[in-house]
Amino acid sequence: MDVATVGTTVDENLPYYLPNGDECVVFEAAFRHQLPLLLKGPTGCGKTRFVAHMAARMGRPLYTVSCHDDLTAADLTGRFLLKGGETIWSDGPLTRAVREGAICYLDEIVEARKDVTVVLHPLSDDRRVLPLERTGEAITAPSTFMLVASYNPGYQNVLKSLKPSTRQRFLAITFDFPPAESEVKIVSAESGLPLEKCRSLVDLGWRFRALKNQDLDEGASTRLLVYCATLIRSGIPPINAIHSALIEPLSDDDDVKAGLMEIARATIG
Amino acid sequence: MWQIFQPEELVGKLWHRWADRRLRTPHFPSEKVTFESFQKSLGVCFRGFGGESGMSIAGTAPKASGHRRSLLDRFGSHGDRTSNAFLNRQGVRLPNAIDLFPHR
Ligand SMILES: Nc1ncnc2c1ncn2[C@@H]1O[C@H](COP(=O)(O)OP(=O)(O)OP(=O)(O)O)[C@@H](O)[C@H]1O
Ligand SMILES: [Mg+2]
Repeated sequence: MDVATVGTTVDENLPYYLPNGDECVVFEAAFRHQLPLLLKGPTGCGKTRFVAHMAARMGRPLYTVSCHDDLTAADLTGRFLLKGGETIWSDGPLTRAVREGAICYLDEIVEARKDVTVVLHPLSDDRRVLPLERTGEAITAPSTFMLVASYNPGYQNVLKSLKPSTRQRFLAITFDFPPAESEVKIVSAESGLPLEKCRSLVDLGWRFRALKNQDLDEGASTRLLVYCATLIRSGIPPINAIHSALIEPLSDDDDVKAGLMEIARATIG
Repeated sequence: MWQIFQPEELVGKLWHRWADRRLRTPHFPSEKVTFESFQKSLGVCFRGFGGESGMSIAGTAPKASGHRRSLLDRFGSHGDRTSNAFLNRQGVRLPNAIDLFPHR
């Protein structure tokens, strides 16, 4: 093995991730230069899997936080807890990641409350410091700490977009559904269903994606294609698998579902 | 009985009846399928099969058919009224209703 490639070779035991562009190279450069990274893209297109894969490749532990509208800065940094009459400080996942020099992944960052950005700002620019207001501590992040965040630009409303001062602290990569040939390989690898059978599912997936914004809010994700292939692999008739994995999850409208079913019958045969 | 003795009239009548029967398309009103009830799913199918998303899909009322009638057709008394499906720059036009099939 070439010494220069150590650290970038893909090990069999890593979480499986098939690259679609230069995202692995960009991630690695960001990691090495201690720059935070923002991943944008639709649901189920591989963002979380990519981070799991890259964290393993960089040999760092991964802390994932799914942000939601009740998530406060204290949920990330930590809080004092009452234990046997004593109050003890307990680190939140972000603080733990900073102390350990791990990778912290904030999923759907735009969902988080505004006060979260206050703790992220000094950590995500060149200061790389996490201030813990409650304890007065300011932790300097070690060189192996990395902040990764994701969001889906599709269904965010104007109020919930990231402030420029936050966005402009991150490098960013746009994710989309993989090109058909790659997606066939992914769906097959994840489900164990033979490639030829996955090909027609991916074809159907792209037909459904063409309906985004007019008939559907979101097209069929790679995740749903994997679910569908998994059902077929387990012996469920394809049309039933499609109904449960690709049609019902996409729409509640009976007419739209009937249309999708017709497309499925014609595509799958 | 005595019609036999007026051959022109008899032949004319038979001819007319025969031509007319050959011409008239059967209709099954109880099995009528309306465009309206399928409009939304048809739109989904149209786009799913690669149709342009900006195109409108609408129904059309039957029109006196402009197609040239065959020699046989011209003997029948019924003028054809048909609803044609067509595609133009504005979009897809489909018959408002179809009742030509014995079962839906
Ligand atoms: N490039 C890829 N390589 C391997 N697997 C992939 C890839 N892209 C998608 N997948 C498959 O799709 C599934 C869904 O991907 P993932 O959970 O990473 O989506 P996501 O982008 O994080 O979605 P969300 O925004 O909803 O969290 C994965 O579990 C994996 O099976
Ligand atoms: Mg995810």
